[in-house]
Amino acid sequence: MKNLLLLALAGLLVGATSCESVVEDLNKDPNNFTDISTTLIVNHTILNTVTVAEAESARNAGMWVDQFTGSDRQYITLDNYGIVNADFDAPWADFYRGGLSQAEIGIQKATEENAPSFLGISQIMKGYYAAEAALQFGDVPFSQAADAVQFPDPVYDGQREVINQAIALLDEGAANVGSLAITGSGTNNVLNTSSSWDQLANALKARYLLSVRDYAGALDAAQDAGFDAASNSVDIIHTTSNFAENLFYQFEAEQRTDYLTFTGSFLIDVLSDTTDVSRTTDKTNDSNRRSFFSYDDGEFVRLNTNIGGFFAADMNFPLVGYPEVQLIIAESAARTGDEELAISSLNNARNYWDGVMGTDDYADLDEDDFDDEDDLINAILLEKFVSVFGLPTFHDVVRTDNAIGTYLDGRDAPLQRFLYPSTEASSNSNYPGLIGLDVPTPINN
Amino acid sequence: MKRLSLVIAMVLFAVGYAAAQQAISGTVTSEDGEPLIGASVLVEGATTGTVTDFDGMFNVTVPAGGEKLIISYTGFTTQEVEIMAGKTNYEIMLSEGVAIDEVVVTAIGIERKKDEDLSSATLIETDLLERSGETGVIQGLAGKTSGVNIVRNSGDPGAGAYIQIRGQNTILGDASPLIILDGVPISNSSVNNNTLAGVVQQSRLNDINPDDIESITVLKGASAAAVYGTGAANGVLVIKTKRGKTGGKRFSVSAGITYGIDEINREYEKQGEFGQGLPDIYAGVPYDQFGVFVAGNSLSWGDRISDRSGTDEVDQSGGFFTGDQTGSTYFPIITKGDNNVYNDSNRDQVFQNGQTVDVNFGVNFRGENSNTYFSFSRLDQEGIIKGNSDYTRSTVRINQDFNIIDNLNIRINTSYSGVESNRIQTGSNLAGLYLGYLRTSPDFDNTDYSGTYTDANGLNRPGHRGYRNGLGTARPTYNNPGWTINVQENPTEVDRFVVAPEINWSILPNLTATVRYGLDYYTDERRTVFPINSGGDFGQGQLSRDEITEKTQNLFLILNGNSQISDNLGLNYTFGYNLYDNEYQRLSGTSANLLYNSPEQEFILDNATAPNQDNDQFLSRNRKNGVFGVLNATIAQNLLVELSGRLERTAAIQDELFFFPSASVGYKLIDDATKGLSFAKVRASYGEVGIEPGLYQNRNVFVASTAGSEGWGDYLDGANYGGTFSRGAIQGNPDLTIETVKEIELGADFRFLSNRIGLGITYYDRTTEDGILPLEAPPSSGFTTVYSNAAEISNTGIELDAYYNIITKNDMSWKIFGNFTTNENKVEKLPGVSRYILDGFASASSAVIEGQPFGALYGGVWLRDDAGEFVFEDDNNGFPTNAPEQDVIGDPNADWRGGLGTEFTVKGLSFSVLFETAQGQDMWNGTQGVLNYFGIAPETANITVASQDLVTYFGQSIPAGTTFRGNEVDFGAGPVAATAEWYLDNGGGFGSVDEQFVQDASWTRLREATISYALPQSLIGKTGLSNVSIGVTGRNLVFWSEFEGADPETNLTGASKARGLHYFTNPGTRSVLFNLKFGF
Repeated sequence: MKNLLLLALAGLLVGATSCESVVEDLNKDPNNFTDISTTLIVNHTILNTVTVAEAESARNAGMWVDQFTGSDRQYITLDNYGIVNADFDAPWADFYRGGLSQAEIGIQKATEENAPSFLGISQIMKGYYAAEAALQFGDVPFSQAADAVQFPDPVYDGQREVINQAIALLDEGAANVGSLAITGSGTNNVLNTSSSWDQLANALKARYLLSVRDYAGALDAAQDAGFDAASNSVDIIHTTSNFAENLFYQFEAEQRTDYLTFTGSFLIDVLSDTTDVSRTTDKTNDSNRRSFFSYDDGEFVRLNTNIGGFFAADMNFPLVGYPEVQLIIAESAARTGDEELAISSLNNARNYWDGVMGTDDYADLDEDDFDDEDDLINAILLEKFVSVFGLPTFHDVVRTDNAIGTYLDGRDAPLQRFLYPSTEASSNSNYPGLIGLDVPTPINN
Repeated sequence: MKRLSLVIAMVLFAVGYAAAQQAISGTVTSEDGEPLIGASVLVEGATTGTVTDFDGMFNVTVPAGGEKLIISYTGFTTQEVEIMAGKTNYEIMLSEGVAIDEVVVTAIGIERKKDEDLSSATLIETDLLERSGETGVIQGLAGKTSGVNIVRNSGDPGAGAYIQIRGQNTILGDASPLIILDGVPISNSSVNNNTLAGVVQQSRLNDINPDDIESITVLKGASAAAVYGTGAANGVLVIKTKRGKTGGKRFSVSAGITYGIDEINREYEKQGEFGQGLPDIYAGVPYDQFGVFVAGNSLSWGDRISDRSGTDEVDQSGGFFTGDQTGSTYFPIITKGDNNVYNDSNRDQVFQNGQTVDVNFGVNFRGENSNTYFSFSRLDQEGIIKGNSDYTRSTVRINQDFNIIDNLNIRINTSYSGVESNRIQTGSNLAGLYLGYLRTSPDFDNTDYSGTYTDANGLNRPGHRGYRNGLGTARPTYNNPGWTINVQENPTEVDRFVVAPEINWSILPNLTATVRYGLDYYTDERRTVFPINSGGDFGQGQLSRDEITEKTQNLFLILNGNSQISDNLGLNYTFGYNLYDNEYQRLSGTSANLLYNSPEQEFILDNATAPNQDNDQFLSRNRKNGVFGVLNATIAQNLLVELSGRLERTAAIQDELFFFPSASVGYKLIDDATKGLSFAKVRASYGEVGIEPGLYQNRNVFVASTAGSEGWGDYLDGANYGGTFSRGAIQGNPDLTIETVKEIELGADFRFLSNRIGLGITYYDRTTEDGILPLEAPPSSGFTTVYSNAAEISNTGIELDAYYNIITKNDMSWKIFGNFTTNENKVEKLPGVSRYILDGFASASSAVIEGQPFGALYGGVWLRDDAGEFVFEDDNNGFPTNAPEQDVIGDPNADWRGGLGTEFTVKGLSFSVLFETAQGQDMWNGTQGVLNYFGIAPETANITVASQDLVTYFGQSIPAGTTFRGNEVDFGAGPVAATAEWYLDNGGGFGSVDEQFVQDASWTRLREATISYALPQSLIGKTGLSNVSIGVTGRNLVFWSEFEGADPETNLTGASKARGLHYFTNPGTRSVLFNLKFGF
């Protein structure tokens, strides 16, 4: 009996220990790479900018300042500020997982490979994601972000500090990549522009300095960006290939028809010639721009996703556009006392649309067209409201406490921030707790 | 080599040991003198025993003091034979009968008496399965034994089923039990059976012809399954197929034909009062005018249909659409006048009575030294959905036994299944059936779905007409259901072979060596055709093809023996080695934005530009091997002890060895058929099984990337931009270890009144430790999830099975039987994360949450104060609002389940019914919520007269006495008018509050009701037939449930672990089946 058991036990041990060879080396994923070239990951960080500039965050931001209207399904609730933290799960992951952390990998790889161009681009991208996240959410992870091994639960750094660090990264990145052309230099296939990387870095820097009300700094950076021509716009390329189409087109024409429209929005009322908020004068005729952006099919005033429309399948969409940079110059100049520069830049921005649409709708404005400095600034902000879709405009409305008077759908003041996502609430021990939509972020406090 | 020498050593040892025993021999025959092959010969009170060989002969070792031989054989009355001193040869004749001892089949394929078994295993006989009339093997088990939960994914033909034994206990591991077919594990994959969108796929278990099955034993506990180590954490189904008979006629045939009719068992009601269009507030009309017709609008919040003039006023000056189906022309509507309601015709466009024809044919042949079972079956099923919904299965099986020499037996089981099926798009899917059908406005006639649009210039183009584009100028946003079922194609084709040869060598009368190999190989080819103009993202058309191949191989080396050590100690031992090898590959090709809109819809993947062609593959190769042993001891006749274990090494963790032990003990208190309490046994066991980590979870990977709002469907594919890769969202973990499931089981089996009443009761407590999950990580860390051994999940429950043979006479019998299961499932630990979402939507999902039952429903809730009362915010006009954070909203697990049935037989006539119930579970009725939004739900079509001055959600006034569409509701801050404003916001399914759509999904159903009649011999004697029977079976004929609009026994996410979600899931069915069986 004893022998039997002993033998059995011995047999079990010998049998199993001898069989390692059978199972060896099978646990290597044949379906995925465990390392990748720097080019491909850097190209991803550039592609991922679309999640900030053109996708869900841009639509939400646009709805909440009434550029757009949520007309169907979940978008009705969203537009009415029926917002829960889980609504921000995907955008937050896009910023951090899809953006910032991949840019950090790019920085590490480019540093190892001693590749200054890729290093610079990765730094600019990291700066971009960090600053955009801070502007939307306030205090956000930065110093401990994107380092899961060291910091599985990153702490939240102060908003101002993150924006400063982001601007420092833009500066470093610009220095590293220099005046390398964005398009055609083989560094990416996502963006179309005549600008170079350092121009993009400066344009972004101007956007962020404006947000923190450093108008002198914003003016310098915007002028350093040298966006002298419409072709300087840094655009995300779209074609009619499946999943290369303009995202507004994909959303409205393919995926979520009726969800996002202009019906009754402040933007469409501004561009109308019959409403109280119309801009129409003998120098300003918005009817073509209105048709460029929208069409009314009786049911809704829809995004113009038709061929040739602003939201057509193959219409590129700006990451940072010429009008935005001109209007940053205009506002910063107006606020720092250079009225002449302010007006000329405003005119540049207006004329841009004539160029794009092949029209002659916008005559040059001059100082007689404005009652005072506030009137000028409001005109600049309003022009930006009808020129730049998404987050930059949202931040303007918050920063200026809705100086232009856009519709707030029943609210007294603009939404101050986006909510921290449920994913951070659920998994980060350093999560600072839910901060409500009405609580200003530090830069607006 | 080492393994082989080990086996030889064990054999030699056992031979030497066993040779010391005293043997007797004999033959076993049937009454007509035919030898019975494989009859069980046991020495009473000992585990010593053997089976008869090909000539019906046996040799068995009898310990000193052994008094009786017990001879049993399926289909014959068990006989006890006294052992007489000095007599060594016995001629035993068995008579055919029905009263056989209950047996079960152990995890390694050995049959044993239930009385000797120490687990809660139950065996279900073939006739019970066949009676269910289900086309899938597993579905037929529903309600027949405790502890097993079987849910069909939907009523689609051939749809898979979810099988759960004793509650869910793993998050990432396989959810379904291990399937052992004739001693070899086979695949039960449900690849991509998640039907958030797409089609409901089949379960691979449906490939088996139910008529081939002899019995299924359900091993519920960990101790019974421990010999499979990491394979068996969810229990085991041991399936035995029929074999050639070793007794009776040399040649016999049995055949049957079944004709079945299926129909939908519950549907959503649609309102027929109001037409397509916008409601009062959005249309700018007063509340008492309800709404305005708007062509193409998604909503049915328009005008009252009965208020209309009777005929449409149309614009015939421009473009128009000509329908293919009726030839009618459709012009733009200027004023809607048509006051017909098309709900009925729109329904009949889609649904029909399904039909099933099942033919099967089996042959038994007994040769000189061999016996054969051959069968063929063919099943043709047309679904309850018209158009491209069907399922055809052909199977062939040959089970062959050869006796090479007296003590060497070879058996080969081979089977082939060929399945061809057409599936229908379902779920959250703009090109899916139920979504388009249910949302269609009541005043829109869906009959013409395809046709030609002629524009103002007279140019023609093919079009797709649906309620959101009545002119078919471009695709309608949602498919016309006619398009979904008739134009879109989703064919699948499965070819599957299972080959399992086995050699048994009886080294000694009480020692057998077995070498068993199993090969299970299938290809599953799936195609999807979205022709140009299909809904959603498929406006430009899309073709895709998936080819799935899976090969599972198993090798077993088993040594099984027994010996009687002394009067009071008998041993039965099994040792073995098992190698498991699984190869899986999936190749996919897709073409989108088709170039040529061919009327033939050929499947040509080149029909797209290069950037619109995509291919993809997934490969995996897994292996594990282990040695196992089972030792059974019978001590002093009544004390039974079993020890078993498996030592295993897996590919996922190649450097470590894992040991899975189990120990069971049982005591027979009484075993005397003459007593009032005829039999009593108590048993206790402890067992451990495991779940290995999935392959490739050990390191970070880089994946081809996309960017945008993938959740909404708009994004850029990096492949269009020169290629982009990003580090994957899941952080790999090289330190993962296996999940361990530990279970204690206590039970007792009783029989009363000469075994007429039986009762089995089992209590279990099982805990999964180190449960692996992709733990949610802060995305700011760079990953959204990280694989971790973090979860602890417990399941405790009680299972009860009972029967009462009220009448047992030769020509009459009446039996009632029942079972009861209660399982309490709890996620004990989920550190560092508030919830893990298994599946579902961002709004409502099925999730794992600490302190909650597994799969808890999770979603948006109302804003409440600490007392749980609604908080009414100032600007909400007396309506509640949503809380900013989601919470638990329901439990999809039943509190208890039960089955109750009866069988009555008199002469050739048999009746049986089986009721089944599941109580206390919740289900999220997402469909209902969305129908509220669209103004389709009857509740939203109520016409209410304001009893007092009311305020709407937007703060509009409705004076007392005013008629409005909607409902007067008091949420707690006084009555308010719930109009479209409310239903289009948080009062509807697209709002942020899912809590309100969670419904009680308890159900009770008449699972089966059968009448059958076996024609008496006097009638068929001259025909040459040996038996003829006819029968009618009703399945799911009636069910009772509070759940609105659908059978809660369906699941949006198919056989996945996410439970309790309903969102435009294709409906369930009830069926009536007529069958004719005969044999000769």
